Amino acid sequence: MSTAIRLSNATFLIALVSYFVAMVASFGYLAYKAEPWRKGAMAALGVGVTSQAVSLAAIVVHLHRAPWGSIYEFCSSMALLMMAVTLFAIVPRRGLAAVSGFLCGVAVVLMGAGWVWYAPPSTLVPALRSNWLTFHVFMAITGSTMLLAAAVVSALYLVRLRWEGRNPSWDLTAATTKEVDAVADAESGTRTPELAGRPTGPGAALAATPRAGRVARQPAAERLDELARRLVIIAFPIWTVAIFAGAIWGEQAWGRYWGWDPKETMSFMIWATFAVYLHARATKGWRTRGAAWVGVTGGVLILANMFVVNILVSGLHSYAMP
Amino acid sequence: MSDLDAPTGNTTAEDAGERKQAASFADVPPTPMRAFARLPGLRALRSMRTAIYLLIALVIATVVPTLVPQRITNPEKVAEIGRTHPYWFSVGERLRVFDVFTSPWYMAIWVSLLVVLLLCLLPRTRAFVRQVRRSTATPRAGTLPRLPHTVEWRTDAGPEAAAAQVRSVLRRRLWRQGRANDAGQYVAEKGTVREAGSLLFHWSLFLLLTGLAATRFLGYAGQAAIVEGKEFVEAPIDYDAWTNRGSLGDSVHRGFTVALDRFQVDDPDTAETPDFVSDVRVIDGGREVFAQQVHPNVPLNYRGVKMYQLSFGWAPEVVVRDPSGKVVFDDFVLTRPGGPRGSWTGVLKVPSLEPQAGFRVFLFPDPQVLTPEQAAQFADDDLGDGVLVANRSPNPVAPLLVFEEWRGDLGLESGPQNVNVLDVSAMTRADVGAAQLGGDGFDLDDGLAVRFADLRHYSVFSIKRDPGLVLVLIGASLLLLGLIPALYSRRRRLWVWVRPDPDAVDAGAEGSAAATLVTLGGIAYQRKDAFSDEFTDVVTACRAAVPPQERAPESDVSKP
Repeated sequence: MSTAIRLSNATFLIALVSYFVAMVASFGYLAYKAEPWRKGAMAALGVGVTSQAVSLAAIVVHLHRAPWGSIYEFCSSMALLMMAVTLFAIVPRRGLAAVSGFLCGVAVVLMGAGWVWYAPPSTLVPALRSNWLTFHVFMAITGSTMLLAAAVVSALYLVRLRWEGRNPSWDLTAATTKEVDAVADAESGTRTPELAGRPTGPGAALAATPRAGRVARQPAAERLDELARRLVIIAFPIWTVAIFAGAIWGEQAWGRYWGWDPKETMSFMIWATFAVYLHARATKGWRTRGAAWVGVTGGVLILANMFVVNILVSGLHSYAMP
Repeated sequence: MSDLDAPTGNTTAEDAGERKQAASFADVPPTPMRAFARLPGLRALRSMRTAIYLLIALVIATVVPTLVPQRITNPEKVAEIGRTHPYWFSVGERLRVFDVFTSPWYMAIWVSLLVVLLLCLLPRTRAFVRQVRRSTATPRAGTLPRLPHTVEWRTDAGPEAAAAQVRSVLRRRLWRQGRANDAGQYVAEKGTVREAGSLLFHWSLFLLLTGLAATRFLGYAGQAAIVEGKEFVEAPIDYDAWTNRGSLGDSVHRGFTVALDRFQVDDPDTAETPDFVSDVRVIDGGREVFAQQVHPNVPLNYRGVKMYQLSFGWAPEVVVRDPSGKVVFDDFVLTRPGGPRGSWTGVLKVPSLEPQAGFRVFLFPDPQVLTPEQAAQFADDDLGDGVLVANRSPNPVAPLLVFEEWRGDLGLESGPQNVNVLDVSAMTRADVGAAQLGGDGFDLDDGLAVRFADLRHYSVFSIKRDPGLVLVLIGASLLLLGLIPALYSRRRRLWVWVRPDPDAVDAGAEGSAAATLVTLGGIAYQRKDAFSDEFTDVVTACRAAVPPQERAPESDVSKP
């Protein structure tokens, strides 16, 4: 094993540990809402993202190819992307930071799974060397990571929605925070997302009770729903492009752009599922719970696509090369 | 899908009655047209809910082909199920679970979905065309409708100057503005492209599917193996297998010739991942057209026919003579890897002999001689422990061909046969022999002589003609083009009313310039929350351009 690959593996493990620490710190923040926990999570994430970037860069520099030649590298790239988004877009916002623990958890599981199916990075068989392929896989990683994150947020939304249903006085709080938001908006002309996540009205006392606490401290359902929607509307076109780029590559490499290969079938299913999600959001009776459940199903399909199809089903996309 | 992106505005009764005239300033733009509304059932059929159910049904139906092996992607596995579980296989065959993508039930879901989609799209497209024409048309004078956002302020600027200022603020912000009526009222709109994008996206799906259908029925696809130095004619007889036979028959084939001059593969010992390449010449109408190298990622493309480098293998030339010395067989035998002890295996049939003869051949490109002890471990394979060789590497060093002779009935009368399989049910094993490349050959017990005359590569091409490809490409591009505005753009409208202040007019000449009253009203049809901010921004910009009177009462920002 060359030095570069050893370095890559070591930094991968450092990142894995850092994300685990970040996950614990994020859950600490969720539980105690104290700034040091959030700062700690941010620091751990910073270390993790940096060292994982080194890990993947080592593969790129050493083998002169993109870091997604095996299921291990694919998982690693996906986790890096998810954690980079968490580091730069989720943790810095106090109103959303409570979500980051769950995203870290997903990244840790992804990397753990990648480590289980570890294969030493090596060069690829000829059919896998193409710019369209590089682009295809890049888009597939980006799209599936964001869709998976959206599914996690949708699941949190469902939990939160249930909690809000059981705690009707929350509505009062929500109304109050909305007003606070509106006043702040009118005064400063800027949005202050932190305000809405923190109950300040009559519901605040309720939110502080230990039993209801964990869910109460989560961002409001509305906010989670909006985050999921944003993730999906960004990721859906990316996933569409990933499928098209894959089709173009398939046309070049195998002479057919679509052949209902297991991976192609699954990616179509994921695409259709998130198309349902987008349509459900615009349909009465489906707008809230229905759409969120569809999103969660989409996340399950993405995981099935990554692990079950690659490992158990043989096809042109399986990494099991002769 | 009919209610996707549908404006949530309230349709007033007068809207229906006064369709011919220009809309009044007070009218909220019409909701999408209600076509077919009087036909019971049709309305439900073209509702978004139906479309969602059908799309979910499609996803669930697609689970089947991810769990059950499909004939188009994994025929071997399907055949294996047929052998091991004949009962379940016949049940599955009846339900078409091994050919889901061409099965009637899967097609039925697709067709229903497309019908519902079409029923949604037609009225929506009509409504959209009307909306584009009418949304910023000059309104008849009227009062301001009840809107979620309204702001009004007095300014010292004259009505014309104020109107021009507001207009330029909105123009800089890319609002599409209508012409004002005599009362100083007009409507501005932004985000019309959302519905346009959504319609483009959905219509593109039809274009894409038309392309797929064109490929399936007007095109064809198959595979052919060409031995180095030999030629292939683009006609049905030269194909070895079909993946899509097409519906137009044989006349659509182009009939040109492809000669494989050379096939090269990197040495697997030095190159970690060997590349392979075929040097081909295209000959059409007796004239050489061009020469090209075909790589795995670089296909040959001539007259709409594409040839892709798929795989390769070894083809030994075998010459068989009968006891009188007459040549009864002389051809290249395609062998495949995966035979016993690393050998490449193939089959040759000599039906002209009496009794008929068939050979199983085992090619060892780099044979290694085994001791009887070493061979003993292979006693159970097809060759048995009597053959003392195994293959060492895929490189041809001193190639050896081992063959197994069978005599009897080849079974050719019972219908078409797989050329790669020897049906030995009516044959007996006669003899086993071996020949070195270019050597004198081997005389079998029954007088036949077998010679291993030559060893060449064969190259397998996936060949196809795909007349729907361009449509698919255009459909996919338009789909993406429509998707972006459909997801990111949102439609919103502004009502602008700039007029001389009626109170100031009533008060009569106070010496100062007549005050002007500016009213802005706004509504968003999507993402209403985000619009509050935008509306505030627009108002702030307008008030900077048309400053409110200082002594005037503070503006009145009303929110829902």
